[in-house]
Amino acid sequence: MQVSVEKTGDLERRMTVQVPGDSIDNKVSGRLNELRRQVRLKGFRPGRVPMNIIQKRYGDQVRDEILQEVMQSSLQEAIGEQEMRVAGVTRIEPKPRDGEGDFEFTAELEVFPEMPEIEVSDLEIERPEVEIAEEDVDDMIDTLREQRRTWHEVSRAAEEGDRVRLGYVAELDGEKIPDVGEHEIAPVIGKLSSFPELEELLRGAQVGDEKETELTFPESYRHDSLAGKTAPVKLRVKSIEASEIPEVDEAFAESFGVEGGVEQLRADVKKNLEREKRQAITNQIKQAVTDGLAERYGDLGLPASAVDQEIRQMQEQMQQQTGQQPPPADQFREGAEKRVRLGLLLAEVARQHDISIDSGRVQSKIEEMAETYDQPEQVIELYRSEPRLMDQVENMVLEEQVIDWVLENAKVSNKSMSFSELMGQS
Amino acid sequence: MNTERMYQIVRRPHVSEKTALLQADSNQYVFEVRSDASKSDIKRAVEGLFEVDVEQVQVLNVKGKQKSFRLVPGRQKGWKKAYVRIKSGQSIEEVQAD
Repeated sequence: MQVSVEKTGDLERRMTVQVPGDSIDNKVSGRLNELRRQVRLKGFRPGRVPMNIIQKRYGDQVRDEILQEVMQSSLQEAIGEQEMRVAGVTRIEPKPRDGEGDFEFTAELEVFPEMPEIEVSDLEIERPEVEIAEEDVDDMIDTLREQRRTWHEVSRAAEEGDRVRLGYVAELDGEKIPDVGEHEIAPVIGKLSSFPELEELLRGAQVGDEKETELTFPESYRHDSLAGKTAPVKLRVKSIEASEIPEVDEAFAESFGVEGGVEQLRADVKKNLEREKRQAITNQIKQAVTDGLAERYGDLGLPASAVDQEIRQMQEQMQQQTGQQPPPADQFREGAEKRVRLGLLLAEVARQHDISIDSGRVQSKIEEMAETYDQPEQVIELYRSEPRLMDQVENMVLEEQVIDWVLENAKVSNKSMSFSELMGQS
Repeated sequence: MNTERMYQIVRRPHVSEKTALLQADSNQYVFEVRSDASKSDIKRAVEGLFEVDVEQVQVLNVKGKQKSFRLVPGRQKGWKKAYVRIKSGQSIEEVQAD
């Protein structure tokens, strides 16, 4: 077998492989002999079909098959011989064979880029340190209460925090907008973002009041004809609603399906926050590590076929999640390139430093993920029985291990911050 | 003799272990032919269809087999078989593979 490699691009190679014709002929006749024993033809006892008839009937077909096989296997062999790290084979093409002689084919390949020694010791990474304080729990519970806010109509003057339902008609260039009826908005006094000038006007208003003012509509206003314009407006107060936030008590806890009252609710909330915190910290560190690596080795050439494959995967994923036709490939390109680069870098770190998957960590990872479900045992069972899921977890774990390794070897500084700071950052 | 007539005379090649042997040993090819075809008909048809030189034609009538369908006796049709020897060195490619 003779192999010659041609460089056709940065990462593209064209490989020409010569396989001696004899060995192919041998393989073909071997296969035909085998066939002869099995084939059943009318007029012949099994196994007694003369060779020339077999040759005539199956010769071409068998030769094609053998050529395919030979191309595959000798390509592998050639790749091994050349010590290339192949990202993908884009084309494989047999040269037409004129009767006798050696068989030749060309394959177009893409190789992974030469990886530089990955140096992390001067990578600076901040590790957030966070304690969940009682105030954080309070905040979270306040948010929960806010979600349960109820509105009910009142017949008094509008106050801070009330929701005022308004009908309005704007006048623009002598035309009424809308020309029939009125648009409706329902701002909450004190939380008005788009029309700060309304606030004063509405405070103390009664149901049925009519007012006139001038409003500046934001660029992204939902009625196109008014967006970005300033116009005199006639307002009518249709109703005033006051809100009520539920008290933190047994009933409140129960409405979240928590048994054991407020204490238990607080404990649950805290547990959830702890988990969120852990995740946020890992994410943040991971982000920092990957960003650092990607930045440092950003000029690494990427094999197009690997990127394309990644794009296809992302598209498929999106299709599965949304059930819709995914957007065109170009939208994924940047993300895919990033992922491929990271994958290469992380794999390279693992390779250079002999990091291998720790099965104990895989185990605990699965358990940790299962914890959030109702029936952890079933989830664990599912992961065990599904190799694809298992692969995913293993990849995640390996990634984590690599990141751990980077953390051990990089310059890590602790930075204490509050929970809200942490969440705000990520 | 036109081509259509030739195809009517030579119905189909007959391929079996025996005919494979004959092909190899004495360059004879075997065909199923019309029952009323004469040796010279067959010779001309084979020469015309396969562009070979025929040296000799031997024919025989194959008797139909007796078969019964649910105890009702019946008979398969008989047919004429022709052994055609062609000039050594020539061959009929079409017939070799079935």
